[in-house]
Amino acid sequence: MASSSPRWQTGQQVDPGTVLTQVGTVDSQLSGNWARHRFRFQYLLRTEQEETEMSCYVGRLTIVDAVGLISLGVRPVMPNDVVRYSQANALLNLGFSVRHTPDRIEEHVSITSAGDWDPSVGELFDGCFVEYVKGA
Amino acid sequence: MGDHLRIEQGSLPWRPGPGADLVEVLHRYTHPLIGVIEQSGHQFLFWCVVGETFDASIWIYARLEAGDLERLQRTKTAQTLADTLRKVSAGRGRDAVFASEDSGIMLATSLDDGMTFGDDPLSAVHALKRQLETTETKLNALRDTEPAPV
Repeated sequence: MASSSPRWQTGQQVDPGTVLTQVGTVDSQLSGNWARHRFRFQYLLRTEQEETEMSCYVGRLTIVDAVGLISLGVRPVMPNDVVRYSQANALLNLGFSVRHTPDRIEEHVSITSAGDWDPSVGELFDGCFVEYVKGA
Repeated sequence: MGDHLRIEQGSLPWRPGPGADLVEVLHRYTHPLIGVIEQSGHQFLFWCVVGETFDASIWIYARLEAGDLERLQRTKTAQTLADTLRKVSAGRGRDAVFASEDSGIMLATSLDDGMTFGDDPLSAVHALKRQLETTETKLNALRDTEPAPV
């Protein structure tokens, strides 16, 4: 969480080697002999909901830490909480802007696209995340 | 209007009704999660209690007193924001809504026992469930009064 002397300035590009964490949810079902886990992460911006940037957090955060940030520490991890990881370099190489936008959450990062965030851009964004971790 | 917002179905949770302007975003994750809106000269705090990253979510609204917004704006860390949110919302969360990604606010209800930021959201979930059951009962009653097809 934020300290008195911020580590990053607003608008500063995230170092390419930085790991990023995105928070999402998972639907889990036991069916027959199989456990099915359907991950759900936002990959398109909802312009009708005035979304202009995708949020992530700096660092390889555990689910407990990520849920702590997104809920300001007021709710426990739930079974459908999930995180996934990318490296800033993967996004930067595809032309995304990855910038520190710290506020009360110092780890907050904003990802934007130079053009419209259309489905093809969303697919590129989604493909940058290679590791998924399920919660409790 | 008192402690309650005027809420309109289909609205975004951070613009929940006619003339409700988003005044301050205090916490966000791609979209606002906690903030302050103004409607008819009154300020209301809103916060998401369930579904921050899901396509269905539950939100609470609490009327703010004079000076509360400034108190919230002065916070510099997540911890001081959370502490101040608890203070300014204490027992004042009087409206709860259920919203979906596709339809915006779908269901709204009043909370008999005012919620405070950080409270277990289960009471809001139960209140919304009761509201849904009441709506369903009314719809069934309406259906029963329809003339039979010729």
